[in-house]
Amino acid sequence: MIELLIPADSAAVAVGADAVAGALTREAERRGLEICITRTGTRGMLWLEPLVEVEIGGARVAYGPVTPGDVPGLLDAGMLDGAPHALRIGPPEAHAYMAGQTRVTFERVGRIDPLSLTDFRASGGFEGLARARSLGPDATRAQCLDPGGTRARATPATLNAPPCSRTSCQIETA
Amino acid sequence: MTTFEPWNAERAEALIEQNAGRQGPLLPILHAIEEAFGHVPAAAVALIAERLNLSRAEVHGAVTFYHDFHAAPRSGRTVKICRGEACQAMGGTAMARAVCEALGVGAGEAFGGTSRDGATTVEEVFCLGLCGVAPAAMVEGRPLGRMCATDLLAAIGS
Repeated sequence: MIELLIPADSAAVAVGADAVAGALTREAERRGLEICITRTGTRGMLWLEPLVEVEIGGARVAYGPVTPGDVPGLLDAGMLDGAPHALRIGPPEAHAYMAGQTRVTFERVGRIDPLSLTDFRASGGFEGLARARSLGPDATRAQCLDPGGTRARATPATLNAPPCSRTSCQIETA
Repeated sequence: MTTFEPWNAERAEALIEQNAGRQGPLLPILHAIEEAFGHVPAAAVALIAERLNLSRAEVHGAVTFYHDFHAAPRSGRTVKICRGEACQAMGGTAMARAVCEALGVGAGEAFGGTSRDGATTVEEVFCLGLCGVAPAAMVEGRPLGRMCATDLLAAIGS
């Protein structure tokens, strides 16, 4: 089963993301290819929407902007293996637009299904809450009030969590 | 095409009652009425004013201030054309003019209206928030970006 990720963001939908997802589903079925499509948020590179990402060995390879008419050619070229194609933009987080950014609020956008609690947990969600519960009320309050470090105060606990272990989050940066 | 219910005072009263307990109930009620009947008729304005202890003028003011509410029934498909700055910068004005001319509705100061055949109602909006894929429009609630007159007319016709 190969995981494809396509934004369900309004701007992506406005330029045909639903039609691309539909075309991929139909064409994969016709060819007997096992794929699953996860709808994400947009990474914000709207000129590349609809942007289709393929998860390969824990890394992402993106193609865009994709139209429904491009789908057979992309599958012929080997998109599911990350093969070259005129629309291939490579690992999305290595794109020049993304590479210099540090995302905080939008850190997970484009990486996970925003309505999936499983995805949220797998990418560090609720770790701050779990930590607070294990520390207990007094220690949690003390840590919030004090100092212990300005970072502890200024940064949500989830951001201090270790790097995500979910395969799809290990974005290829080469 | 979205079809609306015929006016029914009891149904309207039920919708009003459902939302009357909310904080700031007027807008949720107007949305519910608009969604059910496709517009907010004068009869509904009177019922809402009575239930919320407002004057009819206050309710009428809200209906006519927000362009998403309509005092009279609309005909056919609703097409919203974004007239915001980003869309204008991306050729939205020429696109809007071409679409309005093809449908026979105003494209100037008095923008929009219902086409001669009654199948399409055009409205201007500020804005759809689809600036990154401008020029943008919305046909029956479906967002459309990177539009041109030909594609938008095709989307309206489909």
